[in-house]
Amino acid sequence: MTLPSPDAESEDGEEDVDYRFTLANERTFLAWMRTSLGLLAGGVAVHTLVQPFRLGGARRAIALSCLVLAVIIAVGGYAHWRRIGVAMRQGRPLPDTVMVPILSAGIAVVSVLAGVAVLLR
Amino acid sequence: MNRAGLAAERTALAWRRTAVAAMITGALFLNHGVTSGWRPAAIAPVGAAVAMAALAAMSYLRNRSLHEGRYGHGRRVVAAATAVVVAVAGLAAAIEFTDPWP
Repeated sequence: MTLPSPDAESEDGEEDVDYRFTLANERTFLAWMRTSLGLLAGGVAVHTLVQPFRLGGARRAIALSCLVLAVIIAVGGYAHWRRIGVAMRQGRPLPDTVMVPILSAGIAVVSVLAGVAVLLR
Repeated sequence: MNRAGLAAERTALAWRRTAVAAMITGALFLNHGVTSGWRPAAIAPVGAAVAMAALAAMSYLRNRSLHEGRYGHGRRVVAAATAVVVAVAGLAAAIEFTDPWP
């Protein structure tokens, strides 16, 4: 049994999806968004709160990598949300996302940069 | 409560957490704007803080409408949230390049 909806079948062959699934999609998007906001906050925090390193430009490199990663995750999260919405309406299997390896690699890069900067200070 | 009720509850809470994250980020921008001294360039971090406050307000409104059982208009909020985060991240990168380091 699905929820009653005013127009269960639209004209272009796409059926309306149960709200539970669109809401789950929205939650996944929000989780990516919070990741992005966390990276954004990290970038700003590195800029304002961290003491200068001896290694020139290390702070700027760390902050910029955080910000670039934040933009990639925000745009990727939105694209993923859209793709899932389309796939659900057309009844196709849900698409995968490349953002998981991107996020892992990006955070690894930021961690290595931070580690090098702290060790050489 | 209908079958989508619990899912809506979880989604409302997710929006609320997002509002908290936006407020923390906005506070960091505000801190940066205040501590870097009042000059024309300080408008940028304060503007970013205002945008984060707008994102928090948007999240709160979506949270409330989900509580009231209105599940539509998710597309607009999602697109607007993405736009705000991307714009603020771009602004932060611009601040990063132009700001003198303390």
